Amino acid sequence: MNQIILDVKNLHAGINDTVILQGLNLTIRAGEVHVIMGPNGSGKSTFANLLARKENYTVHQGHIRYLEHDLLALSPEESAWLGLFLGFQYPVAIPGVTNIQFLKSALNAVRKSKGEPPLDAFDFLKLVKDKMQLLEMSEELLYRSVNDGFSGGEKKRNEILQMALLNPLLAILDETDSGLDIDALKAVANGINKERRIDGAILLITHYQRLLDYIKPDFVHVLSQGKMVKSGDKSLALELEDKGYAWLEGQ
Amino acid sequence: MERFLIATHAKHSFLFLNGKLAKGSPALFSKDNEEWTIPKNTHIEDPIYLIYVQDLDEASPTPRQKKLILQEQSRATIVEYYINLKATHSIIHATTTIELHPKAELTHLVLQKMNEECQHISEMQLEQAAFSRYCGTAILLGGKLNQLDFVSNLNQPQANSSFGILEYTKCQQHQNINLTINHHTSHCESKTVARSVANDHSKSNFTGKIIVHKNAIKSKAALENKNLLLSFEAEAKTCPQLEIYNEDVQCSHGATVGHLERDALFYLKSRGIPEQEARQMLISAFISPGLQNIQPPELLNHIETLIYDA
Repeated sequence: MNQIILDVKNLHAGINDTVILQGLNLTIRAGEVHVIMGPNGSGKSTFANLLARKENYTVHQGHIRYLEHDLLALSPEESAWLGLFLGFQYPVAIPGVTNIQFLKSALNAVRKSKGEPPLDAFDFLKLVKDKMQLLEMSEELLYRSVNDGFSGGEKKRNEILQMALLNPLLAILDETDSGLDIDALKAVANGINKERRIDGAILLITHYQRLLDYIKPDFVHVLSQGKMVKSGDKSLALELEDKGYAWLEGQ
Repeated sequence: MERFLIATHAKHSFLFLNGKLAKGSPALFSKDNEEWTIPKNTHIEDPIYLIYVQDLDEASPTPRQKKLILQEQSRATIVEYYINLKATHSIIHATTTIELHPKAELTHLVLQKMNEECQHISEMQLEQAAFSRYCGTAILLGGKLNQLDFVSNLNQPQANSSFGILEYTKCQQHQNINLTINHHTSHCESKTVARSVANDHSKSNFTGKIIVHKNAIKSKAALENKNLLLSFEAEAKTCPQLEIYNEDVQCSHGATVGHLERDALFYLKSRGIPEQEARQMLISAFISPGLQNIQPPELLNHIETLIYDA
């Protein structure tokens, strides 16, 4: 069996005083692609934000192990240095900070944490332009403020660009496919496939089966009312698309 | 900065000059007492640095008065530094009058970085004639108590004024800014962008008023003051005002007070950028609109170092 990257056991957690996750279990090993589907309000984004160490989330019970670390004891930047990446559902716009400055700072911070020297402006530009070409992104987006005035598709591509630069071990992609047209979806899926690490893993959070036409999952889980109610392979996603979540509740 | 001489010690110390002038090339401008004149049609490309060094303990206020006159169609960049080299308890009262004659263009930077024991009072009055352009920046960093009173008079048509302000306060510092911009006549334009960053227990007060007088039709005026509080104890008060006495104008004013955006900070950190660096990036982004008039651009790096080394 491959190395365990993420191990979540009996997780009860929420935001402030509201309990949202109620006994969630999940084990992800190197090389695997996992998908979490589930109705609105089932706790998908709470789980993703918790994994990225967003503040104001409280864990009441259970644990999350990431590699040999207690993930809940890590800061957001520490978990990023250890190769954890969250592609946000709603990426934040940061007026006044240029995208290129942001991307370069992020890459060099992660390199520094591994003891690698920073990339100079020339090497960085070459690297970032290569990755942008793969994602069919306009280079002009480098010189605009981070996500400021970006279209929905541009924001999601920018998330995958960050993933491509930071080369994470575990990429969690929260509804990265939402709001994308078919061409953008293909470009984003292509980017994810090309940039994923063989020794790493991907956790996709999605409402739609269509992303799974491009990225082949090993496991599909259904999250409902804060816990996994069913797990299966890709056929589960197809069955859900066909029958809806009400079908699960009837079981 | 090496090419500029600095003179110190004199009680009313002022000085000094652009390298070119110090080397004895023909005088491009004249100075009579504290009146500096850039003659008609003269373009001075290199910035003129006026560096005021206070290094005496003074119980009574040290007055510093000067007048800058840019005659018709002249153009210059003037950079004023107010600093002290050793810790002194002093009060500086600087009064500056600026006259821009028709079609004159001034790029102006005032930078104040006194020690924590100083009190600095600065009064600036700007008189603008037809088609003149003022492009100014005031950066207030040091001092225990600072006051800036800025009055701008747009006296003839097509005068244009753009003013950026940055306050960066910490500890127990207290800063007051009072700004009045008078549109006395038609077809003038003014733009004021003020940014304040307050840390620790510091306080910042901003009052800005645009007055568009009765005959000043086709005026364009914008005033913006944004405040960033970096601690829970820091205070910012802001009061932007418009007084408009005719119907045919385009005017706007606005103010905000807030903390660093948590979501933006989290976003940067989630990409591995350490907390300190992430905060720095957001602060720089916040203040940069207040610094956009600064010329030459090389000065900007130097100024950013001064701001953050405080």
